Amino acid sequence: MQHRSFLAATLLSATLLGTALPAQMAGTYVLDPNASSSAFHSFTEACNAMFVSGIAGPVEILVMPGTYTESVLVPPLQGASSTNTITFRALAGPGTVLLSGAAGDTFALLAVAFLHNTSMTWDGIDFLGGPGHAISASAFVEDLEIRNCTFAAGHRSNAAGEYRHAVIVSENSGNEAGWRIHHNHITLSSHTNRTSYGIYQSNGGDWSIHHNTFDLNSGDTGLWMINNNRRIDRVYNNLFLGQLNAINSSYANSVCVIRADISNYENEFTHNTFAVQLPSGGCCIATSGYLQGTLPTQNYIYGNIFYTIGGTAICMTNNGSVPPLESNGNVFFCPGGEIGRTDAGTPGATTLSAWQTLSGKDTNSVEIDPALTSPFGSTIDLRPLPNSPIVGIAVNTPSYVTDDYAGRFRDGQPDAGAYEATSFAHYGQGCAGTNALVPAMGSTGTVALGSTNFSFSLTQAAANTLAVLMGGLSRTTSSAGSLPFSIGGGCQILASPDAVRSLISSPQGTAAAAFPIPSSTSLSGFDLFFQWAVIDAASGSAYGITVSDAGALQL
Amino acid sequence: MRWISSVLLSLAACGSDPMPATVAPDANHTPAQLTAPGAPVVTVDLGPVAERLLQGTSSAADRSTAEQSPAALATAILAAASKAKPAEQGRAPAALGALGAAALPQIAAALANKDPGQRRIAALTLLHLGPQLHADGTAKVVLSALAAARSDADLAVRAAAELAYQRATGDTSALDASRAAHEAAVGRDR
Repeated sequence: MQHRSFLAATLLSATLLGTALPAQMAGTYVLDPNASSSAFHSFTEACNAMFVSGIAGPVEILVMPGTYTESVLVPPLQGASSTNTITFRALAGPGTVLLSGAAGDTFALLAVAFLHNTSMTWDGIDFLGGPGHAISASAFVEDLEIRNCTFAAGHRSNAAGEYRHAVIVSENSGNEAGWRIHHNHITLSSHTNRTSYGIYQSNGGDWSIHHNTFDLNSGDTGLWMINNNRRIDRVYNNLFLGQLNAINSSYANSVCVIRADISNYENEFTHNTFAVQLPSGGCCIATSGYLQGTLPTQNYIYGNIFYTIGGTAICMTNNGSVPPLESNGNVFFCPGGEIGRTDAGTPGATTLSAWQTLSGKDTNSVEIDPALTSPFGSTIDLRPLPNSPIVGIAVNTPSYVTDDYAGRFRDGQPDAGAYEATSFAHYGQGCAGTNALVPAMGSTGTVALGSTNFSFSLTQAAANTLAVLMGGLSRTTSSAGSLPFSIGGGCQILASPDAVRSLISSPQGTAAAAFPIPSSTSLSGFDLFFQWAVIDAASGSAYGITVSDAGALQL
Repeated sequence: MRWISSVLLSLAACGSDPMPATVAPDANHTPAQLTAPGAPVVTVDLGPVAERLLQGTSSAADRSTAEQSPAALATAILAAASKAKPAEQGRAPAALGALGAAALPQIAAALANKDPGQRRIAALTLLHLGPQLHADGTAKVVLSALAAARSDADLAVRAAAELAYQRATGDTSALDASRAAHEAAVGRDR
């Protein structure tokens, strides 16, 4: 009978599939409500078409500027994958596509176990609010990317049975490919009748959440990570500002900027800047779990700035004999509050030394005013002032943290928080010349406004030859074209040569160029880029030139 | 050999067009008899009407046609949309949904159409209509068709039918599980 059933099913399938599906979609399409019938007039139409036709290659939907009001239901789109991605991109950039939900979540992505909903990107869309979450996802929705978007306050779900207001909700099953949420501005809805979240992530893993601004706006939790998952989530280079819901509670984890559930392990919270006003029942990071048996460390908290008014910076719960976290290289400044608790309901340490004694962590952290530009008030600016003490404080910076919130390079001794302060950072690679040596960029002296002893250095160059220090305002463009610019032989121009200084290398193949840094504070925030070029017949470049790696002087 | 006869019968049923016998099988030229009180019977070719609805260029007369002959027009829209350009396919669920409950039997029947494009459009339309179907207790025929489509050979149809069935039956188990997990986590983190 099994054979007969198989045959019948095969015959049935063959008959049902006897008619071909429509041509699958790939390439670029336009979403324009005012265009002809060949363009999509709404997000819903685009998603419907992708469902009906399927996907055969990367699809980009260019969204024309305008105001859109709709709630988009997205079923799994067959053919979509990490290669065949789907991107909704604001054609004219952020601030031009204004999208509000109409009835329910603005985007609701659904999936089933046998057909995942995968690889959709939103780029530069402004979510204004609506009667639901901005983006919600069921189990088996994966590999999403949300970038360069803004999420305004006012995403409030009124669905039956719903128990929260959240901007982004993911209800994964535990094995889906992680999401990437970056370069967004996320404003929570203030707490009203339901608990308010920025990102609610259940059973997530392998997520990257970075370069975002979270305006807490009296909500309850900026980022909630819940349920069993032992894959690493990476949360870095984010700004957390504003205040949490002023809840009256003796538990410090009643409202949290970040909360990791007891069974959500191996999360890395690094290089974030918290400048938040907390109630007594609130904290910046709530971390729990038992460090016992085969369970890994739950959270790694490195290189952050905790500037809090009230509340608690780090709150542990359910810890066993060994605290279930690693924490170090942080800057704490918590006037009127606590640096940490080892039990949510028990008052904790109000000084760093007390916290170090209590937790055994944060041995290289400091307790000091981080000297941020404007951490509170109507105009918030969390960049460090030129004299900020955050310089070089971070430890254990993950290798994937290569830049800061503003895109500046991290240097060899990164600063705490989301911003890298004044620094000299290396980038790119040089190419080999005489004796197979690659000229190397270096520096000596103090990197600071007003420094009189700063100097660029060159080593590993050919001896007694012309060495030119090129410097400019960009590492991506120059008068000769875009950068990097190849000159052959594996050599690349990495810095715009807006100005040059010529020297003769020493018999040891070295050179130095003094570069006093003006003291003008108006230079704060400027980036200058430098690279050495050396005449060397042994270069693989037809020009007979080798180059060094480059350096970014970030003021 | 009885099972072979049974399979062949099933295949014949699945392969046939689900349109009512009174409607011509060529959907691009589907005639419908429109009647108004006191007026003579008028036969209208619904294919062009369906195409205009999908193109977003429908006229008042087209919309009137839709009101008078929603079932036949649904069949015409499904057939036209299956072979249409992507943007026009994208408008099909809204066009079908706008026809109202009278078109539901035709949409549900399309879940068994031999054309997978029509099946996808039908399943997607019912997915969009899900909560309305739940509110409308008369949609048993739709639920039955959706239940059958949950084993469709095409994964996209099967997925949409599964999700549509959940929405149409008011299945909140996923949200209920989420809430329970949330409350458990809050409790154990104290």
